[in-house]
Amino acid sequence: MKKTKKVILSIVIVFILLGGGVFVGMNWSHWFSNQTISNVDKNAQDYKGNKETYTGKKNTDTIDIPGFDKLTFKAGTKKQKVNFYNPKQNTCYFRLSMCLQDGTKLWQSQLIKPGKAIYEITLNKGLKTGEYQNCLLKYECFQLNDEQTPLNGSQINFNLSVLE
Amino acid sequence: MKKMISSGLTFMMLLSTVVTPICAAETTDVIYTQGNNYTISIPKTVNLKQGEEVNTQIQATQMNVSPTEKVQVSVNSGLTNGQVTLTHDNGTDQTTSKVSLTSNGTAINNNSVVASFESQDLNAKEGGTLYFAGLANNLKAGTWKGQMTFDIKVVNK
Repeated sequence: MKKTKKVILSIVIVFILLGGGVFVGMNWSHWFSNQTISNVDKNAQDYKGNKETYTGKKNTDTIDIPGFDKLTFKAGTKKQKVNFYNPKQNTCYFRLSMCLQDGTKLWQSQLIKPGKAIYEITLNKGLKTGEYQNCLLKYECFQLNDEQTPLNGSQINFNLSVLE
Repeated sequence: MKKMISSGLTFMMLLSTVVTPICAAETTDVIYTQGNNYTISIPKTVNLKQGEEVNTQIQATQMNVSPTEKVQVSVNSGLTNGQVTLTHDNGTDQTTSKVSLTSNGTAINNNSVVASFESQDLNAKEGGTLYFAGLANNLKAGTWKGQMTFDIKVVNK
């Protein structure tokens, strides 16, 4: 019995010593080291959402034409809200013009640079309430040089709703 | 007494059916309609060659169109009988190049559909490539220019 007790006690002491050794080893650097894990990055800023990243070279051989099929205007007034823009990846000017199906020109812009937008236009005349089918938004495109060399262009068809 | 009680109960039941509102199930439709929008990429210029066919792509870089409709691209101007006309710097001399939807194919008609795109798919469902036949070999030195205008519309499938 005495011998058994001694054996058990020995085993327990061995386990305590092993466990203690592992515990000390794991925390040695934490207790005795003066070094920090890492310094705070001074380059970090307040997060304000994702910013633009590099997506490859700009394709200069094509022109991106934004399109839609419906537009809504307010009746009887020349000033209207729109969202016309020249995509920033384009390498040409846009000159936009809006026409009714019968060819009546409602509005024309001046040259719009890539990355710029028009949010308010002044029509040549106010429109009565109604649905105007097959209107056109014409995109005339010009080189970004002093000569403003004409390039291929486009026109999109849309239906205009004029509301009270 | 018993008759009075049963009569009273019956009367109360009848009265309750008159004043109790009929609770029928009602439904309310909740609707949102997203408009169609897209971005079509057209060739800025097409550099033609003497005696050699070239081709160019009509692509979509953004598509959001309802499943019952599609975006159709055709050539609105710049073609005459399927030929694009180029004018020399001198303003007088002209030459032409046949435009087709397949290599060395038949000339397209005015307002032929040259590409169509559907739903949110950027790949052309029809067309998407324009082929320009090689120019004549005896052209005057200088620049020959022409422009094409592409007509883009949303149509029913």
